Amino acid sequence: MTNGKNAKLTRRELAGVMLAATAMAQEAPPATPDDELKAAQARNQETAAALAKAEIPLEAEPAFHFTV
Amino acid sequence: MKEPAADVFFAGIAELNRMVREKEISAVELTRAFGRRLESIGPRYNALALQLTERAVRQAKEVDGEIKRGRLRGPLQGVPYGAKDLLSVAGQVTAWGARPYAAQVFDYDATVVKKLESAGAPLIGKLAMIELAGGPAYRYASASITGPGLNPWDTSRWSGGSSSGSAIAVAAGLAPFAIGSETSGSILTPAAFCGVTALRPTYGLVSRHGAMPLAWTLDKLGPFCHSAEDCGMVLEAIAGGDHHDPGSAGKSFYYTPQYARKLSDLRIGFAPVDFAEWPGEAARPAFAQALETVKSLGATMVENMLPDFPYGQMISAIISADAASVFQPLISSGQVDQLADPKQIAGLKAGLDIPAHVYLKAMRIRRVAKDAIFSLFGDVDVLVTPARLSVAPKVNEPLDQKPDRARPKDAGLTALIPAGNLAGIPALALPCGFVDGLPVGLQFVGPPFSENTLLAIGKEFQNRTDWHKRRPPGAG
Repeated sequence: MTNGKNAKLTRRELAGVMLAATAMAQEAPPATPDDELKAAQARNQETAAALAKAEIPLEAEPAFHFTV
Repeated sequence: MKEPAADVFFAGIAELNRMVREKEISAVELTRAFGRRLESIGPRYNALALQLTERAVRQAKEVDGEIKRGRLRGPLQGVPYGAKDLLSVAGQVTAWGARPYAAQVFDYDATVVKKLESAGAPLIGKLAMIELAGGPAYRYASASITGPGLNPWDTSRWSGGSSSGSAIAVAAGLAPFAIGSETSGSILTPAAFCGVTALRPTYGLVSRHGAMPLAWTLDKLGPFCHSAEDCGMVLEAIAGGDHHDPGSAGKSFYYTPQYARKLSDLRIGFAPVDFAEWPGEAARPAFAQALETVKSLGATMVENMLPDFPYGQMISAIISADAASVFQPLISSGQVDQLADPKQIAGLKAGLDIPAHVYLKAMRIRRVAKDAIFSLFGDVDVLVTPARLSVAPKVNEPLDQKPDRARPKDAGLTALIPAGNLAGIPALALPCGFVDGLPVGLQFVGPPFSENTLLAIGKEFQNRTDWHKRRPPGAG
């Protein structure tokens, strides 16, 4: 996804991310702690799937050294 | 003791410092006055985590002695402040807003607390926060050991979080300034909702030593104030290299408005859709007027947009994985169930199962995204967009409910909170209008270490507007 030009996600899909991490998943509140955990796991799976779609160059290393 | 006039509680840092230096009021009197106000009014908004007035008075006595001896330390000398309860203060409870940590005591001061003590600023109290600074996610404003942060402009509305008490304290005149933290939106959001000015510094500019970690490569500390100018003074005091913080950039900051570039030499990037379509109908006139004010500053306005990246998913994966690692003992012990918010409990537990390859993918995309965001600043000096697209939500409504209208096709710069945090770049939030009696704000975002430019723009914006001078009803 160099320069973002090859992203497979549409702008509409990306548009919702104005919300902070605190409010990224929007859904009706689950009823029980078990349901809540399943919902959290489902959100993580959706996140993983979205990230998997993103194409990046092989040489792109993780941003561990973060002094800007 | 006679209470100072209400104006004192909303005065700027330079004015308060002048009053103390010229002995119109002693540092002890000023500290006690703010301490009483924080203690009596703070609980009305669930803003107070821990009162520290007596400790502050001891500091203030030293300040008065120094001033008597002619030792002047700078603009914060004698000016009291509050700190988000994720900052350690030796020997005092630091609860991180969370019941499982209600008795937690550290034996050392956070670096920012030390630096502010050196600057002569007495710490009058720890301020309320969302538990664990929001962790991976939370659903309700009540996700805090102190209850929901109530907005001084309308107590049926949320203050925003996670630096709830920091924004409330400044908005309601309970402290001249406050320190908060941001991992993704926790400074900008409460600043916008409470109508105060706040700065999210460049990653690494302010030491996090002694602050609760949430996500190591995202956490930042910054000031809440009455003006951009005050933010500059506080940032100068708290910035600087610190070998105790592995993320420290090793840089100092000097607030130098006198050397700021002429605004007419600057290029400001904006996306019309951010102002015309993304906000709700009621908020659009306020944002449109704010954009006109920005245009009147004399900079060249350039239409811009963020490069396409899955910013929300990236930051979610990173925060969730980091938070699960930080709080693994809490999760494994079962004490996580003592937290107030069911979504936060579940999110922390689920975070333990995030695969390494997902986290690493997020961090690799982040690398590419960061470069793309930095390249934006080849064409513009600063980006501007609404800090939040709406006024503060009602205090009891779920924060993750779906919006009741279709989103515009063009994302513009609306992802600037997660994108800016992922890139580690600074942002200044300031109030830019009111909608139905509630404040709305703008964010100005620049490349790394561009704080002086952001503050210069903010200062000029505030020279032309009075939104930052308004006081909540009943606040005096």
